[in-house]
Amino acid sequence: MKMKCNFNVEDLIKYTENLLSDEDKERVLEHLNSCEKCKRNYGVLKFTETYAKDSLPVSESISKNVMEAIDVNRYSKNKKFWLGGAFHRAIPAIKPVLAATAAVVVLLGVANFGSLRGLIYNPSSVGPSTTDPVNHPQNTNPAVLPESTNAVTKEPVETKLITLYYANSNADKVVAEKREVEISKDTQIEKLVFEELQKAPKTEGLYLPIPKGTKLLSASTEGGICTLDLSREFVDNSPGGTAGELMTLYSIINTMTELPDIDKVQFLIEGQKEEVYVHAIFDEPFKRNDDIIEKSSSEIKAEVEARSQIAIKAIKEKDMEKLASLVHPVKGVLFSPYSYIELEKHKVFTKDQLKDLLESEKVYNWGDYDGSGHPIELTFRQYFDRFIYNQDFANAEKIAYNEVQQLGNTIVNISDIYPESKFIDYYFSGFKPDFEGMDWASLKLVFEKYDGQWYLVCIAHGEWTI
Amino acid sequence: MIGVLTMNKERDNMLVENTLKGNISSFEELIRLYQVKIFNFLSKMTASREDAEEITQEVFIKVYKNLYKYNNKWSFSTWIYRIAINTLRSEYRKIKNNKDIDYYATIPELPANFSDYPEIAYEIKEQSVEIIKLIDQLKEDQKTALLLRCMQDFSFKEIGDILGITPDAAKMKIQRAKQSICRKYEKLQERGR
Repeated sequence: MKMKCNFNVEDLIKYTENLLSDEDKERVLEHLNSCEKCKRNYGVLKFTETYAKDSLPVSESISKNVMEAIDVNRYSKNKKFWLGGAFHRAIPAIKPVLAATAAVVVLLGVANFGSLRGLIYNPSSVGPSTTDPVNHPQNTNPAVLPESTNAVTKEPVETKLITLYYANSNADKVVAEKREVEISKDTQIEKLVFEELQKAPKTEGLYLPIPKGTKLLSASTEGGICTLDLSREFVDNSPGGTAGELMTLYSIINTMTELPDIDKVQFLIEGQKEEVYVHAIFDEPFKRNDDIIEKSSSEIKAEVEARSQIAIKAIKEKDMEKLASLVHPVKGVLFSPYSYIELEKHKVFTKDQLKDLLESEKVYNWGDYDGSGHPIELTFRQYFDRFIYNQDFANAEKIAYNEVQQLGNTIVNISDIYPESKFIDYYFSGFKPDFEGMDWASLKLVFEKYDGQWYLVCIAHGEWTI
Repeated sequence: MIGVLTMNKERDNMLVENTLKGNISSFEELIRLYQVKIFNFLSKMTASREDAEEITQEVFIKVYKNLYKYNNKWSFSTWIYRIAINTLRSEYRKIKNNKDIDYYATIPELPANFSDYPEIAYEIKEQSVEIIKLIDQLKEDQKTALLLRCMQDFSFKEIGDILGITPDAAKMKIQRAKQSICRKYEKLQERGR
């Protein structure tokens, strides 16, 4: 036992894990022949692996017992208790309008249309999710780029970013879709834009609300008024209904008024002014309507962040009056002790109930403790201290909009339970270094829009669940 | 290797979806595919065949009940371990109390080429039970990480996902587990001499 040993357990671990260079491996191997201590450690490590890998035969009764214990009809067709949006899809939320735009903008620096109203685009407002590759000019048509218009005797072609409005799936708002088009000097921009609008939207979830067969007979702009002469189909093929009518009209009006020098749109049907369209007075020019445009995600983000700021402050200060004023007037607010929200298990309070809840001595059942599965039976005050504000979330390490922060495969089902919601995640990655991040904590405030305002529908606590 | 994993993942997701459509034999297939792994993991975690069997059953029952919550962004293969660990922890108190472990029942057959050093191979064989005890007595999180790594060839990332920690933290736990076993064994040998 007198030989010199320059190796430690760590080296041997690396050796057994095959993480050493050939040279180092050689050195360890040589050393192993002469060092009893290392040989022993090596043997122990090898044994550990063998032991872990060794598998015992499995009793057949496991499968049998499980099948007997479960309700085999739980998921059968006439028993879909679990639908209601709880099943998770890996499909990421799609915000393709912005995605498409983002892709376009990058390559647009050359064409200078910055002065055109509505065409100014601020890349910093791009949402976080860029999943839709449509309309990426690099992939589709490289010839569009000004550099590549070579010296052949062609009309000078410019690349322009235009904004088109399509109907959303509820037919209550129009949504902008930006598109890059090529325009030569002698093309009439109004015509080009209208015809571009008649192509189907590239954004998923948007619809073209212009009646089938509609043709633009002519277009002209004078004194800020763009006159569009449309074929009879525009009237005849209209699906009717006020909502559809508004979509049809404002999809066109808002698209056209994106162009410089156009403030209003006058419609003609085959050269004639008509008195009404479906319901709308049709013989006067229409003004642009900004209220019917769905807000961009950056605007929404700013709104939600502002509301959440008020909410987290109210929570920190235990200002229940204030907090209650933020609660959804119809749905109330749900309290979820962990990230997985269960509508049938977790408590919901209305804004009126919430006001005096901190003083209440009543013990509620808030769901089950993770791990033990025991019911969480606490007064609101106790719940508040344990499952709402158990950390100083108002000064969280990270505050994120609509994205979940924590690690691990904790299921976060906010977007399934509240598909229309936006949330703010107040997040701490961990407190004690020994816990190696297993003591992360988060508080998510979930908001839904009601009557033009964002209201709190859920306060979901999150922590490492065992 | 990656191809196989992706295929398994697709296969698992398909079986989950079919189960959720009411096709119960898809769930039986999932049991068949995973029971050996889960049972062996649990039998090493509990060092008891009976407990492991019981908890394995419970894991599959839980998997079935909660299948609609399964997020197919994650692999089924990591999700089920997470449930196994949850179940184990909630059952653990019960088990720990009446632990009268027969470590001898779990000694693996050592392969002939187990060690290049015959004298050590002999010693380890003799001391198998002691080493198994050391593994069993590891801190729970270390033991879990070590077993997941050694028996399933999970990546550090996957182990991190299962335990809700970073890949680096997972790697660290495995490293510490191995160090701890070696050091304790060393001490044991010194005392025995």
